[in-house]
Amino acid sequence: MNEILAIAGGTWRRILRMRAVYFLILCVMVLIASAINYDVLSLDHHKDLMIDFSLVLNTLAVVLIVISVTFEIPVELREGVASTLLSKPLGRTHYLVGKALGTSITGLIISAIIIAGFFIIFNFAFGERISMAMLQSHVLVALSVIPMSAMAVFFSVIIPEMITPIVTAIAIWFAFSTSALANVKILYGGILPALDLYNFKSFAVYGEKINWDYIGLSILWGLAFSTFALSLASLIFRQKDIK
Amino acid sequence: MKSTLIHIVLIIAAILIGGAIAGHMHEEQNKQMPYKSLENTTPIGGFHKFASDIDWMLVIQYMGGLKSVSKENVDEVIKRFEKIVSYDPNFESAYEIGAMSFSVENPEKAVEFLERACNNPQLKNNWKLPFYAGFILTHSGKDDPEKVKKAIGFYEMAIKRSPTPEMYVVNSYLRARAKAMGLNNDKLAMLKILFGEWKKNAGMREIETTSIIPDLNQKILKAAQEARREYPDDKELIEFSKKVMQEVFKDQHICTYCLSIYAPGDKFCSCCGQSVQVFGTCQKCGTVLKAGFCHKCGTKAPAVLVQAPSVQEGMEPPPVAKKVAKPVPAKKAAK
Repeated sequence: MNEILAIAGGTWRRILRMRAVYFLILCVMVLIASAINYDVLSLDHHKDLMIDFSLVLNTLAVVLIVISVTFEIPVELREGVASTLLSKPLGRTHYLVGKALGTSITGLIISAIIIAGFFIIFNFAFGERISMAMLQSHVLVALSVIPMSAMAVFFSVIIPEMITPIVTAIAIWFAFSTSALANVKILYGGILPALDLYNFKSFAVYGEKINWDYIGLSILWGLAFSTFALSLASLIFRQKDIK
Repeated sequence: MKSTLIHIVLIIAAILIGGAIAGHMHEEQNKQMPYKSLENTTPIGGFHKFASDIDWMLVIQYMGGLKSVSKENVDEVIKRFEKIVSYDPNFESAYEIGAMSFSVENPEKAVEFLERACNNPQLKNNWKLPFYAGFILTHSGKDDPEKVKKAIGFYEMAIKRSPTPEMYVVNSYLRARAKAMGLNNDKLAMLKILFGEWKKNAGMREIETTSIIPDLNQKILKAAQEARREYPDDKELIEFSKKVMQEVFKDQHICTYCLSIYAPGDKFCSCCGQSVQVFGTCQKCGTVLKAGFCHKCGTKAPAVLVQAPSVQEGMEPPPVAKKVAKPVPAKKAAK
């Protein structure tokens, strides 16, 4: 466990030390706040727009964090950092799990900062309390980083470095539409990622409250899918030659 | 080998557990968001609401550039609004503004557009949507009984959805129903509709069913007054209004000529000046009674005088052609 935490710590420290990350978070806040000026342009739908804007930008932030790992793993493999790490008493599975965990924690931290910033902006702009639906929808966006990280690690291992980020982005994009296959048991959510289960963006505007059980289940599903993706990635990774 | 086996077991277990959880969550999600099935299935990364917001702002800009919605651009306008609601089936403003904007050029499409919104469970409390649909139908298909019938259904839906229905919604509903009757005398048709509603309601009092029309009695009175004013020579109307008054207002005192309610002690109707049957006065001194005994002479009031006699039996309305009553303001009549 310590080895996994060590790998994870390295990942999140590397990302959270980058100043660009905080600059991007600031940009996100400015974009969210800019929705207040869309009152005329949207015929007084600017409040809905701000809620939706915040959820979209939060999702994009999470996706960007996740994609960053698709650059990191191939680089570590190419430059021999991974082989140094793996020469220690550290299994390849530990390495992959550590990377996924580190990315997830980074995503959760950055998402939490965006959520907090959005709530302050919303309260300041409209003088209203944050609804439970809004909070829960944001929490679900933040939690979607768990399966997304596993997907990113999986693709980093199985496909060439050049196309990993693009393939990961496309896979995440389409993973929000797999609900069309919801009737195919096992495949939906078992093999194919079902990120649509985390999509409550319209609910944040129209809904009242999501059952907390649902949010608990979303964590469980994220862990189950990550177990599948990381185990499969680990099986493939074990067959690879590392310099 | 052992490690590989563990991995395989883990993969199978994770697939089974993940599949089961995802199936359950999908059902839960559909329960929480029943409108999700109405959403466009285009894979846009789950940004459907965002896409609808963007399209909404674009359509506002587009509409701002048009002089009017005409035959040349109506298809484009419909396409744009359709796109918005396909991404966000709960976008009430898009339904309302969209349908009204192309209702003149393409009323059928506007009604279909609104009907879709009416069937959305998330919008079940919006009464404007069915009202607009009914409004478009009544104005586009004035002579089409099928359209009028359909409009009645929409108006009824609008009244049922609203906790306190607006007067214009109720009046539109009644007018549509009167039109559906196909009578030449629209006032008589209206009175028949209201009386029918009252009778239906009166028959169901035991199970406490109330009419969807608020202030039904007042509406009946007003409709009868208007009808008598506008068609003073229509015998059928006079007979029918008399029957209505006797049944609906049997506990009240109403001038048989102008159908205004009068007060205890009144000898003449304050609205039309016709003599009315006096009630609620002391038999001895003629003072208006306030309770069971006369407050001036102490005579006990006979129960029959304190209680209301029904609408003056046998009191025929005076010849209407000679003296036409002045229009009675609704508020005054209600008093």
